[in-house]
Amino acid sequence: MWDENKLVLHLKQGDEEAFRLLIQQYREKLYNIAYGITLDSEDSLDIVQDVFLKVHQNIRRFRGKSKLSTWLHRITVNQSLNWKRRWKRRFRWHHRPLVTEDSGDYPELGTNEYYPEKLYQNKEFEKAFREKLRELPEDARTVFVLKEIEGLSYEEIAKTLKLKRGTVSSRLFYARQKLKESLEHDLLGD
Amino acid sequence: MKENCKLKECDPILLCHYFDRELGPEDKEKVDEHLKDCPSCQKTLQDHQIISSHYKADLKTKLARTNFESLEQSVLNRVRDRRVFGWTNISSLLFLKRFYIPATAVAAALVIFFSVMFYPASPSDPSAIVTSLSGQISSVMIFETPNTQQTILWFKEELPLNGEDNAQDI
Amino acid sequence: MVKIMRKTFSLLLLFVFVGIMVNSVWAGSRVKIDVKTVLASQQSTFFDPRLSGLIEELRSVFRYTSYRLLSEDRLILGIGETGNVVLPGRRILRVTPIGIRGNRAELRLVILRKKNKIFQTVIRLRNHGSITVGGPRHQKEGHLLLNISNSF
Repeated sequence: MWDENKLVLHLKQGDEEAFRLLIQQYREKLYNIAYGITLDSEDSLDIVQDVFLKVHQNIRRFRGKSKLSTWLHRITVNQSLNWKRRWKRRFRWHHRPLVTEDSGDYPELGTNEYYPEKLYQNKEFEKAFREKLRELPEDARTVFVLKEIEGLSYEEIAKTLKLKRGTVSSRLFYARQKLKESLEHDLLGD
Repeated sequence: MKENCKLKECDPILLCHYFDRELGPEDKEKVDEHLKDCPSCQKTLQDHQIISSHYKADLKTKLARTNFESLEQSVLNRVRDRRVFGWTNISSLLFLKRFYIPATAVAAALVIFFSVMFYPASPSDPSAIVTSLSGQISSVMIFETPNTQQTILWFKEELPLNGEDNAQDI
Repeated sequence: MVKIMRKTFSLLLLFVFVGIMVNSVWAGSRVKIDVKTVLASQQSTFFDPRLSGLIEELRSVFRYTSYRLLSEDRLILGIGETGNVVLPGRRILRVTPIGIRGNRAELRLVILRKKNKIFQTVIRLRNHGSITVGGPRHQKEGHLLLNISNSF
């Protein structure tokens, strides 16, 4: 097991094995962050790919002032937010296959999950939840993602996003309040 | 003593901090005490938990469906490609001032030379300007690549009525 | 010393002048057109090494995972002269330079399929610039991209 210093050192030397380790160690976390912000699986894969390429290109400039993970999170958040702003995303949207992302969601018949009523209720909740997530402003969603996925403290989120701790707290509170509205259908109580 | 530890009224922001384990021991104790007798805050806390669990479960499902092996391979391939083209060396050279200054001077000289020789348009111009367009097409898009403003013209052929579209492809 | 400097400066001016003249003469005669026919698809992961520079550009706007060079053609055409490039799927690309305006060549592009015109356009292509025309479907999941570049 390589510690962070060793990993960074080998990365700076251009060691491919170190780069492979970095990818394996962070790919899922970074994907989660990108997906949390963009809510698009395909774009998130592209973003993570770009993040790793950026890291490979710029690792010599990493001075170790922050943790490697903080640096990676920051790049991923920036890439994800930029991605959304770029026009090319609009174009890609036109070329998306007609199969929806939800196409594989339905549980198989005969499993315990298949109770039409329950399934309907969960689907309704999921739909409402996703809608609320999409409606959230990006800055609130970004804070929520870092809290929920990475379990970062307010302080760490503030450092990653270069915000004040109070701003993190208020954005997180706002995100939770908004997402709670998806529960108002009272569908989960049964 | 206990009464001093209790919150006077519900504080949703404090509750949010409590849920995120961001409170110091004193505040935490206050909220703990308050929660014992406040069904509304208990419900709020439960909602936070549901939201959090659902969100994580949803992501877990997404992760299970994602092909990270191919992502890894693709990144490594692109890195190897860069090495072949010497990008790593070039990018490290770019940070050296002694390279930077003469390189800028040479680049400037080249730009001036080629501007006289080939009258290039401004770099922000698209590579091609489309002046007319027609045909048996159902849609068309014109755009530019972000890096070098290369024009892309994308059209969709109207589907043939007799379904011969794929049959004719060699 | 002053003499040498004057001579050098005059020579430099002469080169620039000759360069501009030669360039204008070329512009009056023929346009060199290169057409790369590329099959883009999501069926596999393959980046044709012969397309290395182009793929970077295409990947910034398309989401295909495979780019394969099917053919490469060069046409050298005078103004008003038409050249044909045979494309897969019984298609033909017909290119006609109409004129030169400043640093751009005006080209008429026509794509035919079994003698039917399915697409035609007139573009003004920058000298040494290129355009990618895409869209025709080829094979089950692929699309043809035609990268057309010119110089004159």
